[in-house]
Amino acid sequence: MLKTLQAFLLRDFYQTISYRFAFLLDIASVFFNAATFYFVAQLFDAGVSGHLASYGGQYFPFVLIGIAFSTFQTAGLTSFSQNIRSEQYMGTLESVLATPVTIPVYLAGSSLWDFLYATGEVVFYFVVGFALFGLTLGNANFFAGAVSVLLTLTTFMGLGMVAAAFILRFKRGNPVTWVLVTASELMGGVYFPPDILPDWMKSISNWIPMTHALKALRQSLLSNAGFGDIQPHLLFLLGFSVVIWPVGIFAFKFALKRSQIDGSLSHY
Amino acid sequence: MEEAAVAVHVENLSKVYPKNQGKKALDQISFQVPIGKTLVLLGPNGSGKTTLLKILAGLIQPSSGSVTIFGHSPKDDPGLTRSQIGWMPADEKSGFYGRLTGMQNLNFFSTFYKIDPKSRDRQIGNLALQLDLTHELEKMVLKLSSGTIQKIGLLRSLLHNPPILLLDEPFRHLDPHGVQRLRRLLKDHVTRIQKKTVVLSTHLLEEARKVADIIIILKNGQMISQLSSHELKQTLQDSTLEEFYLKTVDREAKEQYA
Repeated sequence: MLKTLQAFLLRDFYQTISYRFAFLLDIASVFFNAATFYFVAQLFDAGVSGHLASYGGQYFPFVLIGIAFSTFQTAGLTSFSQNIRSEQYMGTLESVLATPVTIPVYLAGSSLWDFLYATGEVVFYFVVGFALFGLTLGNANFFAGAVSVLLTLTTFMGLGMVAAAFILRFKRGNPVTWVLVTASELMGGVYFPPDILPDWMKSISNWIPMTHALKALRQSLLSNAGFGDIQPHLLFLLGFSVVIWPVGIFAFKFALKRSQIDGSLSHY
Repeated sequence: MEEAAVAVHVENLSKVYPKNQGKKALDQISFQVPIGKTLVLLGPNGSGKTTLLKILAGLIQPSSGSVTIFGHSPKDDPGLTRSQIGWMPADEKSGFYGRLTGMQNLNFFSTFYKIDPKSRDRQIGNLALQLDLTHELEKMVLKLSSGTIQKIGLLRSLLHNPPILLLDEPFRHLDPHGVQRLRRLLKDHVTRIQKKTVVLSTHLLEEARKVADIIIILKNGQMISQLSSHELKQTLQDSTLEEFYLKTVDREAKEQYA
């Protein structure tokens, strides 16, 4: 299985480096995003410190973690579905599915590169933050942070499979991605802490995976929080992963079967 | 025909696409292909050739009837049957990643069959030579001609040395030399020496006549004629396959609209 996953990784690596300019633009985007929020932070840092007390008190590290780790959500929600769609468009989906590859291996292989790429982007956000904008993580619990990252990844991979099932079946108009991206940006705490939201929005926010992923990541990386402190968030992510993975695999298999029945596997 | 000698067994196969107002894409098709023989599917556009090939490849599920590949159903044993099939789609890009080279594509697809790298490289080298592809495999697929891509598609279908080849219009984009090369490969190497079973579709009737052991003509999802090469020879004593094909298809049309 490892060799198969490695083959998917190589396939996507070759495809990515064949678009060199797009790769450079991705790197530039990380720099400009970080710079934009650095200056936003300069504008009102003093005024927001009360809301950010539990996250170290400064806006720039807070928002940098938000935008950096939201790339995992983007990768999870878009990588499976975009890969499926581009495989349908290129006509490669049928060629791959005519081989003995299993569905879980195909799904894992198809998204592996995007998650590695997203991880590279997250690292680059921090490198830019450290090197150019004075970011420090002197109060970080890296072990708890690493576990939070792992659970964040598994959560968004599971959601990605559900999104991929929608794309396989309906080709366009993926409600899973739309709802989660929109809800996460507004209520998931990417740009501001959910604590400032009205109560009814806070209740919704508590059911959004991004909220728990970012709370766990920020508290462990900015406030030296240990497992005990972030346990509720880790448990939410773990529980969500345990439920969403089988749901995602089942949904994809169901969508695949329906596409095989109506002959729309290669339609886009 | 003895069951043990049969590679492909299709029995009362029907396919209705749910969004096609109940129209049958395939209607009660039955046939067998013995091991080492070549079945050629002929028929007008939309007659059901690709649907039939995709059902054999396990890419489309039949509405009723049964399909077995060496006794196994593509629906019930997808992993097993797919490892026994070499699939070549009719698509212009042949299901390749355009921004990868031919070799990178072949390496990628070979991984699913767990072929050891040495045998894979040897197999690619031999087949590339036979298909005149030696200098094309290091180029990006999107920069290759349709004919070359199609030849790489055939190479991919043979890569894991499957006992059955399912080829959807393999002559489609080839020039006359390419057609001749492919015919020789199929006739001399693939079926005669390697005893592989081939099911292919084509619109090139002359090639069909040259490679086929069995010819099936489909029209509107129905099998309107099935002939062995021996029966075909007897039938074609005073006519060409083209004349026979047109007469058969037109006769069916007249009967349908009478």
